[in-house]
Amino acid sequence: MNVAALLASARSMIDDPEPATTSVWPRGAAVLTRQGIETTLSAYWTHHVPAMRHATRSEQWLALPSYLGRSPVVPAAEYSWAALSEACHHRGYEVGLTADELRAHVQTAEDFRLLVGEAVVAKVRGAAPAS
Amino acid sequence: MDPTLHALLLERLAASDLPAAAQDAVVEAAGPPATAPPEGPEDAAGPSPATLRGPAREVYLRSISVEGFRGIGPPATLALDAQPGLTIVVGRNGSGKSSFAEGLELLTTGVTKRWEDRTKGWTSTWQCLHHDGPTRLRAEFVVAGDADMVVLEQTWEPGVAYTDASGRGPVAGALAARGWDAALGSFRPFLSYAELASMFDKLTSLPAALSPILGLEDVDGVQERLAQERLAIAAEVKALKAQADTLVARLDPGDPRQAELGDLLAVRRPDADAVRAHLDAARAADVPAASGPETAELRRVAAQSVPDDEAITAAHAAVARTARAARKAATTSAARDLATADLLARALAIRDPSRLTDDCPVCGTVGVLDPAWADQAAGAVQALRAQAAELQSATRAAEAAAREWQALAARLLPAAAGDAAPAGPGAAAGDDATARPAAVLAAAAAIRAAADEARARLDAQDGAWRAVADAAGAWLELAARVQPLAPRHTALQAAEKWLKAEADTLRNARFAPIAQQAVANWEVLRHDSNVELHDITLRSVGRRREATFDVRADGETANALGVMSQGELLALSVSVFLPRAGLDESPFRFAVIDDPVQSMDPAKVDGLARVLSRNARARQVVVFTHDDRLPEAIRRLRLPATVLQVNRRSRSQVSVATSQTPLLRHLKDARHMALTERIPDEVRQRVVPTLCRGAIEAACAELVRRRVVTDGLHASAADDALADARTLRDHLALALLGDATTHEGLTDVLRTRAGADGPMLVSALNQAVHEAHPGSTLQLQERTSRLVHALMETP
Repeated sequence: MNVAALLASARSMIDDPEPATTSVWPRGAAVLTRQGIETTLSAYWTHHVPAMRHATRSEQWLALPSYLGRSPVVPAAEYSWAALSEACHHRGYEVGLTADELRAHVQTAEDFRLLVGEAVVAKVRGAAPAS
Repeated sequence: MDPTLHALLLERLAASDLPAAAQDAVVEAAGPPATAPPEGPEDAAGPSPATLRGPAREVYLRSISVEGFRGIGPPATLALDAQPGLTIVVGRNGSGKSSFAEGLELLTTGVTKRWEDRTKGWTSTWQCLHHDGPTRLRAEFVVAGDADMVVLEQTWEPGVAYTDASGRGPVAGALAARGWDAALGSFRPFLSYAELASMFDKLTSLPAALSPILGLEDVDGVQERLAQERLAIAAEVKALKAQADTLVARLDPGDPRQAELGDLLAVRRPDADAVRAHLDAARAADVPAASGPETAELRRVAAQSVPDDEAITAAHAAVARTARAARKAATTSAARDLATADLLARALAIRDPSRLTDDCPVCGTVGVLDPAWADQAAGAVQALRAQAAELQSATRAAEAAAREWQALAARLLPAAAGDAAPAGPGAAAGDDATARPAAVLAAAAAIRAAADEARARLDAQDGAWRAVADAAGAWLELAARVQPLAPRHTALQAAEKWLKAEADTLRNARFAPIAQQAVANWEVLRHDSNVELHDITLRSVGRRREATFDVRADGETANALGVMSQGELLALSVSVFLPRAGLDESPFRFAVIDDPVQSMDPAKVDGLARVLSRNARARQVVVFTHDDRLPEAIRRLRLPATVLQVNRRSRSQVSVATSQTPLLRHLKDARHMALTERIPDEVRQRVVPTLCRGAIEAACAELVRRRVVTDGLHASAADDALADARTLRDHLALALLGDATTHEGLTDVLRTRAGADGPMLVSALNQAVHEAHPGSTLQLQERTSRLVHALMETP
């Protein structure tokens, strides 16, 4: 499942509630969105520095601004990833995210996907003549 | 009143269409404008003309030391960077962190909001249980541009109440000398959870909390004075009316004078002149003339003269006595006596005096009329005549006594008998004269009683009138004072109405910046909450003021306090509190918030972290929190903040440790990336220099904020300059030279401050932006650490 599809599924879970997902949709949407962000992050490193796959997520995030620059999308995506990770941990006492919050995170994931997509395309195009 | 406000008020007053009398009332109530406070000696020296120089006398918090207070036993100090920036003080419940916040509040304000209105159980254990010595609170403040700290310290002996003011003198003096005492009340740079949570308990709480900072107490004072005067007049008018009512209620409608007075007074607006005229007329005409028929009859009855009982009895006795005398005298007939006397006299006349003896001319007896007879007869004539005269006199006396008695009875009895027609004098006389002395006496007594009563009634009537007249006089006096105030009352009412509307306008104009910031804060805080806050306005409802929140929930207009959850209300409290505490007029550039995170969900905590961070750009914000959620959010959002950890060991030993600063975080990240084996060198060589630059930039930011305090730079301008600095050299130039745009001399300053490696390291880090750093990244991190510490340590 590619990132766009993951995010579309998350969005539909939020916006078109099915009776079957009554109680699980917030967590489901959170998991899908977080997965979308992580896939995007992995995709970036796979295309730029494949060896980074050994790094932890925190390390991958910490290194990312050095590559993607000062775009506000990067810290926003990192924040969404952290917030969604919190929400994905199944702790009884924690409240889930609201639909509005989830929608905002999906949007951030979308922005991040586009930013990374451009960077990957540029990399592939830049690398193609050389190879 | 405040001169600016005074001028503004007069200006608006002139532009209003308020009647002149009402305008005068406002001007009078406003009083003269206060003269500007005298400038301090420091100001007289003149501020330096640096463009970044802000308003002087900005106060930052340097430290709070607490001993023997609440959860803190042995002395513990919370040291803070006295400069703009966010500090999070984390401590578990009962760690003693709140003791710092409350200690500062108690030290500076003499009370704490948390204990206000609390029972003794709350306040009696305010001193630390694990501490035998006195309670000591101490706080150090730094005034921007001043080398010397301001230290406040107060000591309480064991066992005294926290409100014990015996040791407060120096603190109060120090606060008053700087005008901080008033400012503390107005801007309240502390916000406890209790205060946060109760800010919206009542619609009036917020306006009450805001009222001092809106600077409109002076206008409130004017309103108060107008209202007081109006109420005083109203009270007098009421008293006047009450006095008239009381007087009317006691008036006797039987007395025409009183009846007329009643007519004059029992109207809505009694005419004082008419009342005065009536009183004057009554006085001039004197009492009888003013009497009606009823009073005239009373007066007639009262005027009756009745002989006393002795005289009546005597009169009656005289009748019997004279009658008796007459009867006694009548034993001889007066006529016969007189006839006999005449006969004898004639016989004496007939007798021939030449003859010694004569014969009786009546019986013819011879020689009986001798001189002896003549003497005897002459004596008899005399006696008989005297006897007759006596009888006549007695008869006349008896008749006179009887007449007199009859007249008396006739006069008294009909009166006593009321309507019974008086009997004819002749017919009644005999009977009355003999048979009814008792009845006459009774009648006389009755008449006397009636007269007495009538006199008493007349006296009472006159006494009542005099009292009424006196009361009416008193009423007139009051009326003379009160009635002329009516136009003033009208003017005051108009003035009050105008000023109330004006105060609302001014209040909202002054509140607008706070409202805007609060709305902006809320926008950040609410994150993705469905509650949008559009505006906050203040309005007066009667004598109360309320805050009105223009709130939309899911796009629908709603009542803020209804649709917001407790956590959202807390967030709203913080949204409003921060702008209030951060107003430029406040000397305090610090704000202390105790536990704002409670009942907030994770997204709100993140929003709060953002808001705090934003507000901490140009201000010192110290937040106490009991769990990791806020530091976690700070970390997650990569916001610059210093995190202090408060730990409490047994017996209330409390210590404070620095667990994070923006600087340390960058250095730590850089070290981690330099050491971790999970990332390839090419990444390490690119990432570590970036993180090292971040550490230096963070240090530069700290230095610039420090200069805000040491050099009195304008905090917002300094923050803007920081935001505008793009490159590492920009940052360094701003921090070390005070200007990001010229790098001239930067290398020299760097070398002086950080040694020969300083400029070399900066060059190396800049080089690494373009190509991977060729050498050891760990070494690079260590060099950065040294540079940063050198920069931070040298003044």
